[in-house]
Amino acid sequence: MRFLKDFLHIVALPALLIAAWILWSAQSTSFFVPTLEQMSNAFSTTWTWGRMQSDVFPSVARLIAGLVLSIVIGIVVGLLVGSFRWLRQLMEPTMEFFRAIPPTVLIPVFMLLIGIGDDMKIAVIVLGAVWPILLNTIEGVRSMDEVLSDTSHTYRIDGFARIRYLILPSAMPQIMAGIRQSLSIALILMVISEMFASSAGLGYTIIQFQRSFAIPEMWSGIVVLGLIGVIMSCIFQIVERSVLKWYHGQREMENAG
Amino acid sequence: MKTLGIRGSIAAAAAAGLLVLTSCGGGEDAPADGDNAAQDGQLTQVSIGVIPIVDVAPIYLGAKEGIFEEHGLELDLTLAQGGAAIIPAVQSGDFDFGFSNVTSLVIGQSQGLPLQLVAPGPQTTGNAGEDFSSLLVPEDSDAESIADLEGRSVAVNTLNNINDTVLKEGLSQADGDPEKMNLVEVAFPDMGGQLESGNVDAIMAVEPFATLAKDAGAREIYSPYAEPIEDLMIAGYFASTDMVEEDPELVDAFVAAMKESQQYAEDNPEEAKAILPEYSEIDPEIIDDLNMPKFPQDINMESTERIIELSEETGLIDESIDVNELVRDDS
Amino acid sequence: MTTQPAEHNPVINQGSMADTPDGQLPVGLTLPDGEALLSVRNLKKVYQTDGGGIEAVRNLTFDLPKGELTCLVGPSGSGKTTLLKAISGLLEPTAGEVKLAGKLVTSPPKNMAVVFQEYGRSLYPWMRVRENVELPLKVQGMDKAKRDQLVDEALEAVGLDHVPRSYPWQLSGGMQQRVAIARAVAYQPEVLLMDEPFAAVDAQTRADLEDLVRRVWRQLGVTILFVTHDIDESVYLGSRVVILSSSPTVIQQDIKIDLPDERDQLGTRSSQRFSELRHHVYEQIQLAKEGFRPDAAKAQA
Repeated sequence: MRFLKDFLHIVALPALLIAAWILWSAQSTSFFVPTLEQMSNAFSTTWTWGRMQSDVFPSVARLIAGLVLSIVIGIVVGLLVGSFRWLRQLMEPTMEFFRAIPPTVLIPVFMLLIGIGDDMKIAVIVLGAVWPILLNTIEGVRSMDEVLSDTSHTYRIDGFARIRYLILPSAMPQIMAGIRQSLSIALILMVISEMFASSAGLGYTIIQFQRSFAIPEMWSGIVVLGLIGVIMSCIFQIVERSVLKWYHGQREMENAG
Repeated sequence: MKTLGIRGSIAAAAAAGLLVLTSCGGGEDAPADGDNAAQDGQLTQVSIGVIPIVDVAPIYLGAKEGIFEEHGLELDLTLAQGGAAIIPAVQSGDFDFGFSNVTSLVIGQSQGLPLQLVAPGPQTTGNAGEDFSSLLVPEDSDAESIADLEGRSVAVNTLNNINDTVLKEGLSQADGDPEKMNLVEVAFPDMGGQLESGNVDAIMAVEPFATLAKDAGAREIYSPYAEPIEDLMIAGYFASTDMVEEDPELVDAFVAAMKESQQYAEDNPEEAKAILPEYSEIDPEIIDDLNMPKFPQDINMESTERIIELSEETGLIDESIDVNELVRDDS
Repeated sequence: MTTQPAEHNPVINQGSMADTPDGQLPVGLTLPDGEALLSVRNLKKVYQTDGGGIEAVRNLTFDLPKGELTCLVGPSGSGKTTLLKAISGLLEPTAGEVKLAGKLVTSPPKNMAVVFQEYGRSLYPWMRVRENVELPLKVQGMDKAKRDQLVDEALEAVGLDHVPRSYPWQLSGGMQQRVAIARAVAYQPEVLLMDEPFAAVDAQTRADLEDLVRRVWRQLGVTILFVTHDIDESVYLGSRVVILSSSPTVIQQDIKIDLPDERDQLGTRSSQRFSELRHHVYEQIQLAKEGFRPDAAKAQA
């Protein structure tokens, strides 16, 4: 029963939106608003297995590579910067500067420096997606509980063990919040990076459909993009639930108490 | 708890979607203001979407020289990123007329977009090596002709459009396999850098980027507009079929003024060049060196028909379209 | 200062004044070189702030013999925590030195454990009870069998052998502090420092935990320095109470608690001697709160 209720909660809004769109598109004659029938036709004829292999999977692979790199770089640099005050003071203005630059304006520069292959596209994703993780990690490390830190010192939990058992888990709630933000940024940048020097990819395909006025196909691509977002979010939730089980439990106890 | 996650992901998807949406333009119920026309010597406001390239010099020149005013029109020119943004805006009535390359219009028409080509745009000079588009390779490249580009990477500004169409046609005319040319999409301003850094083997640039690249040492091996198709008309001015049917007088006035402007630009090439810095970022220093297109009086039906054929051959459109439906009758 | 009838006076361990770098001051019990397990000499801590230095601790000198349970008691703000941090090597003193088993303490030494007041913030919330107790041993590189044995023993000693799979935050405050004590016990320190460990638990739990500390102390023979602001607690727990002055802190008095070793909450607390000692410590703390300074008083006298 509870499962059914949860399920209804999840599907209620999407169902409502789809219903609204069916009503709207049925009476609309606009070329840019396809009907349900056009859309579902476009969806099934467009997103074939061959298309998945040639356009969707490579994009998703770049997305995953970009995210993994962002997470690794964000956490490693975040741990360093968060741990040393002098490094923080040294890096902060520079980081603010680079963070303020939209990755898209750097794409032409990247194209010259890195080339026009997958490396460039992944670099674009990393350049945008790394910031929430990096800044959250710094904040997580910095806001370490003093008592916990003292306790660890007195038990001589130092060096690598300190990072492994104290700093990383303690910053994990913030790191996870950063990763959550990075997911959507990475997805957007995956699309944008394929606007440049591409010849395949999901974002590229959607743009091609849009340019060639294949409007139902374009919308179906956007739906695929949205589905990838939903899947990413679901995977993230599962991971987060298990990694931060202690955190959510603790929060619930505090709220209850 | 679960709903939160879904909401987050929908936001992400929506954001990603929005991004794509923003580039396909506006609403659909903007007023078409053709009817309160040129009565009593009053000028009719006409909004037109154009692109900041040499191709549209005549319309700026015509406006400056008062040609449009003589025909009772006052132009409201808006610069857009590319044809992809102009076509939806014309279809929705935000623009009365728009400038687009012929291939985009062919694709649009084949997809059922009610658009018609009403006035001619730039045409190739027909002189290889002295046209406004060039296929360029690095100075030290061993490529001597387009045939040598089989299996190489070539940058074009937009894939699945007029530029890769003419390149493929050029290569197959030179007995090469067009499928073996590796085309990459690179924006015109980035092409020179990509060529120099060796990321691509050749670039297909138009003016002023072709001249800039040549100044930086690139060597021209082919004229992609001049050579594969005779008297190729690359682009033109178009309107929605609604506009053509409902306000023929306005369209006539625009077409007449446009023809006159094209002629004026053709007759006064120095003035056509001089007007470029007024609407584009073209460096005045290189203007003298630019190869300007021809600005014909009439829409070239033969070359347009050829573009339709090639678009079908390369799979840009599924079914051929009738050139007489694409081009407005009396032009 | 009013003097009390002689037979009721507590035994003062070492009330005598001594010459220190900070002038004539009372010092605590000191032992000949090499006999003390923990030795604090002329410890001073001045915090540097924008408005100049703030002298928290002026001069503390005392020794801890091996195996003794000493309580440090003082009015609030008397620099108890500062002292404890300096002893545990977490805070560098401005002057003076701390030696543990003859070795100068400059960073947390390996034969010392600390139990903090804030149990909720001293346990790792992402680890289960057992993992919390085990971690310091694991980081030391102790083998698994030895670790398991020590952890089992420690959990049993504090009465927590039934909850090893719980997370700390699933337990009550008193239980959490037991986990912290178990972790300290399993670590097998020579010296156990406890910084007002029961200040945040309810009275009932507190009594249980006090008895737990006494039991652990007697079973393991560990040397304990127990910091508290609770006078009753200090008298009930300690074999000796060191009373601190108000800040800048010096030692006000160092007294022996001559209660029997077998103590229980009801009997001991209602005994005549407990009451006398409690009375004495209370008076001393009151004096300290009123701003009495042993250094100034003696200097004037």
